[in-house]
Amino acid sequence: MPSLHRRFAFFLLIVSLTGITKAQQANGTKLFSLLPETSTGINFRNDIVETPSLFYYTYEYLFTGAGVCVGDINNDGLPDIYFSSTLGSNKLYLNLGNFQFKDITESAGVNAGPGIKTGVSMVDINNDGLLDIFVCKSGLKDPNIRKKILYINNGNGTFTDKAAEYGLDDASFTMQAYFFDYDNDGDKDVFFLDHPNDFSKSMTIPVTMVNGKMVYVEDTGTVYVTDRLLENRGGKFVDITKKAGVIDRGFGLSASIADINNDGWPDMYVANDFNKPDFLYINNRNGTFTNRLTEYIKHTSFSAMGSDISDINNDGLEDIYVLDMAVEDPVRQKQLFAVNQNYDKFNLMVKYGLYYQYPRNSLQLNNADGTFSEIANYAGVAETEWSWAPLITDFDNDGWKDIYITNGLKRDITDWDYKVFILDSVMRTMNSGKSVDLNTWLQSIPVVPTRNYIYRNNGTLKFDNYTDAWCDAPASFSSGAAYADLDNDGDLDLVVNNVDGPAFVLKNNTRETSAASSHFLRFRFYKAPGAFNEVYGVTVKLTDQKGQVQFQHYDPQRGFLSSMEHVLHFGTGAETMIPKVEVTFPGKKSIVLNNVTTDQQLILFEQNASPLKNTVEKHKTISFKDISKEPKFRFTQKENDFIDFKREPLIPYKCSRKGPYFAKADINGDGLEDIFIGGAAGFEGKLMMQNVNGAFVEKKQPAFAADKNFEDMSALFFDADGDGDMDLYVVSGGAEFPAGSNLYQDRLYINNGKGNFARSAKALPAEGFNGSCVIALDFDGDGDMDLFVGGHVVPGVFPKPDRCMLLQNNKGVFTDVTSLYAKELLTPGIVNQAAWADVNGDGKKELSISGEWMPLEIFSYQEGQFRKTQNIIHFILPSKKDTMISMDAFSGWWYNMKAEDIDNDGDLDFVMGNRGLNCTIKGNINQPCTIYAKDFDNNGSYDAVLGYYIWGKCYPLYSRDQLIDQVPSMRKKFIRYRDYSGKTLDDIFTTAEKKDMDVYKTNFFESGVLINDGNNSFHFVAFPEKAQLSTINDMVIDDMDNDGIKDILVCGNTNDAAVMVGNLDAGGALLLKGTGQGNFTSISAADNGLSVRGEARKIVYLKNKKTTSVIFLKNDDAAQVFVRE
Amino acid sequence: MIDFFTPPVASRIYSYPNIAFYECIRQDDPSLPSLAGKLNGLKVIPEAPKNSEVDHFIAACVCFSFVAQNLVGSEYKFDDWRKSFVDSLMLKDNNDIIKNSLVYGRTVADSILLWSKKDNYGPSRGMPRFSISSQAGTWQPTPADYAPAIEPHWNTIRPYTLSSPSQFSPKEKLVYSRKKNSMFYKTMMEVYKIGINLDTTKKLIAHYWDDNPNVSVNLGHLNYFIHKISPGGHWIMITQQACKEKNESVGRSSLAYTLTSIALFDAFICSWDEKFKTNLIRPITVINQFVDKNWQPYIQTPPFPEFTSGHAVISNSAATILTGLFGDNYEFTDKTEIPFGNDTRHFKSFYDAAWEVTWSRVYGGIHYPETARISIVQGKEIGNHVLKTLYLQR
Repeated sequence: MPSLHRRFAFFLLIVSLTGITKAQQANGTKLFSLLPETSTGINFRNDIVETPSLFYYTYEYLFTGAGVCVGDINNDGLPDIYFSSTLGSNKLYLNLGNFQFKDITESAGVNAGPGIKTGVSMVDINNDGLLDIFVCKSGLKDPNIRKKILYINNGNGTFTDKAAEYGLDDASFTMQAYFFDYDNDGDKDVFFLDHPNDFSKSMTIPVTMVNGKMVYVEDTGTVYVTDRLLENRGGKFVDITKKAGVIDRGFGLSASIADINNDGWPDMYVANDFNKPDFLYINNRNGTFTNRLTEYIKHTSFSAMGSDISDINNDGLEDIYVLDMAVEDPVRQKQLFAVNQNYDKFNLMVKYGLYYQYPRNSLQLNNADGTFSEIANYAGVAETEWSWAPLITDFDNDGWKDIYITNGLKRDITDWDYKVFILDSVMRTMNSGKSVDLNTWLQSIPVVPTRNYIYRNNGTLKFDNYTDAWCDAPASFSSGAAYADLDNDGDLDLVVNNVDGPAFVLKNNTRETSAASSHFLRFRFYKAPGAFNEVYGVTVKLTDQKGQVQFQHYDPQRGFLSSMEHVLHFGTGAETMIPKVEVTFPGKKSIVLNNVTTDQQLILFEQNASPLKNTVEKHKTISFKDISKEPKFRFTQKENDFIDFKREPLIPYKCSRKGPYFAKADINGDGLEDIFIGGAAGFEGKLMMQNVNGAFVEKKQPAFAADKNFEDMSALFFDADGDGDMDLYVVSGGAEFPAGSNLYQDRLYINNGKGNFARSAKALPAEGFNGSCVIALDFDGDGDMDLFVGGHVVPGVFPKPDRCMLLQNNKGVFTDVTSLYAKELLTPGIVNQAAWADVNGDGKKELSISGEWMPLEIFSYQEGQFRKTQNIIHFILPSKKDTMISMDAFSGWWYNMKAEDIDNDGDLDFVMGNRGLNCTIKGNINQPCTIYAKDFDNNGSYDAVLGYYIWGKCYPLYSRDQLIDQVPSMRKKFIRYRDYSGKTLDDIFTTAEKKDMDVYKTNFFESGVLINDGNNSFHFVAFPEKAQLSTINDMVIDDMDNDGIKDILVCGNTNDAAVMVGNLDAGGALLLKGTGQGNFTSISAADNGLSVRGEARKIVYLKNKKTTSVIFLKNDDAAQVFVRE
Repeated sequence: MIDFFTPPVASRIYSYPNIAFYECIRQDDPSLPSLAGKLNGLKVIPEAPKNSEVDHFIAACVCFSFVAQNLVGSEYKFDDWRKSFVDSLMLKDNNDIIKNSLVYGRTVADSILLWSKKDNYGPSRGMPRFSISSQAGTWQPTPADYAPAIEPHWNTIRPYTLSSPSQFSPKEKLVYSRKKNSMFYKTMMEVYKIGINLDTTKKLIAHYWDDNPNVSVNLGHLNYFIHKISPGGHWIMITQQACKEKNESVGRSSLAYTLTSIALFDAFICSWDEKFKTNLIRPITVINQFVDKNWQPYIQTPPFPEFTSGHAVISNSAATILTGLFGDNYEFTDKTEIPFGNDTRHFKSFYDAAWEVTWSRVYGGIHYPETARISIVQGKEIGNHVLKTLYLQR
């Protein structure tokens, strides 16, 4: 073994320049080359041989595979590799250099013995400068063959198991052991991630009544099956699980350690498979943890598997990525769809504390205000097959972290044809008393190896699939994986543990092929010079010449069952000198290095770190304070419980929970704005009167109470009867009543001048349309206010639009004159918003409308008739191509629209709020989200079948069973699941069926502004990324920072979605600071104080000389109130 | 069976083809009257053209196959069967009688199908799915799948012989109560005690009559389905065994199938009408709430409300028909369950079997004893009504 001094001397060397000097390889070399076993000497395979007593049906975690860990066990400067084998012998390979390895398992004495081996790590447990190896086991009944192994490195090429001596010979069913210093006392403690061995309760929701309340029933058993935290007390590990508060009975498959709340103490994310929610353990800094998942995170993955925590968008904050088993391939998607997509079960889970869990990957973006936004759909990393290890690191050294994802399950036991039909015949054979040969049975299960994914970070919160471009490794059943610079050339190579196949050794060619644009900087952390104690939990923040930040923490155990090399690696792209490097040790002690040259490995010592000085608060031009707790404005909207999906199982979202809506005006002539907030069905509307202190007090109105059965969809204060005070028009809608119901009758309330309202019985025409919005407009120019009332969807017939109404005012009595003056406005679409403003600059006002499954439409009133005008829109495709379309093709799910001069050029532009891009359902101009709708089976119900594009073709959203449930005749067409899998929306219907059907399309899901270029021509500028992460339900436009450019405050989120589509909850409030020409930059809540969560539907913006207040009205939740500081 | 229909839907699929077969075959036996005019909405069965000679057995077989094919998903099974049937006939002889019979069978099938289309099955597919109530004592989704209750609108389906789905609504009801001296509480405690003291015989009985066409097993990602014969199917098999044993003629056998399947169908409608009107909580839910949070029923609770017991009602209805046709004290050995891994069981009479079915649901932990008692009465009333309407009043 090299001496201590030699070892450090090596580290201080500028690392090998071989990569740079080597001739660049021929073009066509992929970023990763798969090195064959014959050249590496690594012949490890994790072969899982099934027997009647041990196969998937006797032990469900048999195919989870096993881990791999990398570390330099003989201190020769070359990382060595240790593989875990589920059933066979674990293997240790010594790195001889030049990608040559030697199997020294037997001489080292580290085969790990019998049992089912799972996670492995290299860790220097006794701080002697020699990496030890830790092995976990699970699965088998006999605890003696589940005992963990601690191979202490003897320094002479041999190892001795001393787990018992250290108190680590625990026999729980363990996936992985995570070493970290939970109490910041300078040693390494350990967390064992365990799981129950009885899977029968993994998918149930046991509840019972306790003190009059229904509660979830926790299992009580703890032996071998619950997670454990062991504190290192001078080299002896002591179980402190209970005291620390981390008893978890979930099926934990991975944990990730990081300082999530940036307080200098390590926190822990535990990814739990099945019904049990994940846990986010925040370190209380007193030896205990508290699970704060629901405070930080809005939804998680259902079958949470591997995980990693790292900063994916270079904003200096830890983001969390957790894998699931969702399939991207449109054919396999239908063949393997997840079972738990039933509305009732999903909501039972939410009700009993199992939280919002969706069967897909989740990427939690850190908002810096103590919350995360789940953006996997936006980032393009939501579906990666049955996935195990996500490794987030910079593979091409361009300064942006990429993701490598291992996946594959040895047998597709979730294939629907298999589990419904094939398994049925197997079981019948067994029932009939005949024995079933295991091999015959196993051979009936589909076997489909899949490619591991590689995503390249493109720097815009999005990842591109570089699987093919970067790697030529074949399809596999991969599980654990680790990265390490195996040849010390400054890029990260990969080692992957494969079930039933040879392990992958993937050589990274980045340095060889593009040295000039792939510089790097590497770090190691120790307690002090001369001491061997390696320090985990250190964070490093680089700030390059352009001010671009990179941030990472050092905890080598990542991904799944595995441990990475003991070095923190940064790619720095073309940068060769980093102006600022901030290294922060646990407890917030830091070292700042300036002007660091790249392409070297630095060793940093904790003893040189000094306590962080309090950083100066950033100056905030726009800052708000949450005063919701003050009695200024108290309002909670209650939504009635109506489930649209029970009536229309295939629709993508509910139309019945759109409230609350409000209107504001000074209704009693005291110079202060008062507010009316509409109620959901069963709840009366409320009148909130503002007093001189700026506080609001409810004023009860019997007329509103009498009409509480209506669902209020919109409201408008205007002078209906010309008596000079503000009367109130309330639009009735909500879609929950049968079409044509008299509960869709709009109402007009007349103000007696003192702010008391009485419903006018005869002022409005009788109607039963599901309304959505109302504006006042004097279209006939007679001086009184006429009305346009938008129609939403025909109840129960989504997405067929209901009637709009043009109501002409004749001395306070309104007549429906739509057929007379506005035939084109009878059913233009599912209208959400209307505006009456001069858009084309001809001095006359036009009526503009927008809504769901429809474009923006502009109608001019000429010669006694509203007629749609023809407009064109320019926009830039993602391919950077400038494109021009008719405005008719500008269809979105427009929830909000405002006409406003955004670019200060004197004409009106449109600000358009849409669904956003963080949704399962996608669509663009060339690949529209499409609905085919008709009563296909003539049973009286309108069957709206939605499809969206995957890999270039439009596929139906639904599983075979869901489609059959709505259109029973499809059962005859799709007798087996495979008959349906891969069918496009066009394929599933015959030509005859498609005849006379209605087709609805959505081409745009981005929110943004339509800048008016004059001559009926517009161009679309999409809002920045963070404004696309959720819906935009409402907006306020104002120059908030007084720079002469208008800013926009938007709010979003909706829980209206079908379970298989998923709630949109990544938004809240977002301030878009105008930078001119319709461009905006986003200022997040952490920087302006507007931390809003939940379904923020409407913004009440109250601005006077003294103060500016912002009230966010939410669906089924209390309003949040802010005041400008 | 590979289409996995729910029990009520399966009863519809059993009945129309049997009626179709019967309406052809009964023309060979003057003692067997047409059901036209007796079944709701069935006015007349087309007759064969005067001068065309028809083999009614061939016609009946073809007729059955066409009707059945229309009702199931896997149509190819009937296509294949018919093809081999017709081929085998043609092989023997290719005469006009066969051709006429095929044409006539098709004609009757069409008329039966036309009639079947008006039973509101189609529109009932488009009606709202079941919504859970939050009121105490109402049905809640149960493991393993927590699926929504199936067929909440089955009472909108046209019955064959009933004037309304609630014609035999039990006078006695089981009403939810948490009071310890209430009938509900007592009967709930009874099912709980039976459940924790199950002996091998009771387990066997519960398992034998489980007849759940779709038992869902969820062990982590290991999700699969155990498919068994539906409750209605079990009684069709018992009918078949009785006909075979008694060497009944094709016509008499067809009568037995037809009446039994009609009795099953109408019984499902009555029971489902009651289920969704009372929306009663299942034993697993209420026992876990108040008595024992870990208690599990011996068989899986199917996804619909408790009162009345569907299997008990349809079994007693079917047993009434079979008793009417084959007599009381008709001893038999039921072999239905052999393909499903169970042994045979011997019964002293059809009512004996129906009684065992009824209590099997209590042993299985999915019904209350009070419900069992009331369901027997409801089932027999329906069976007697069917027998009276279609058989005794010839």
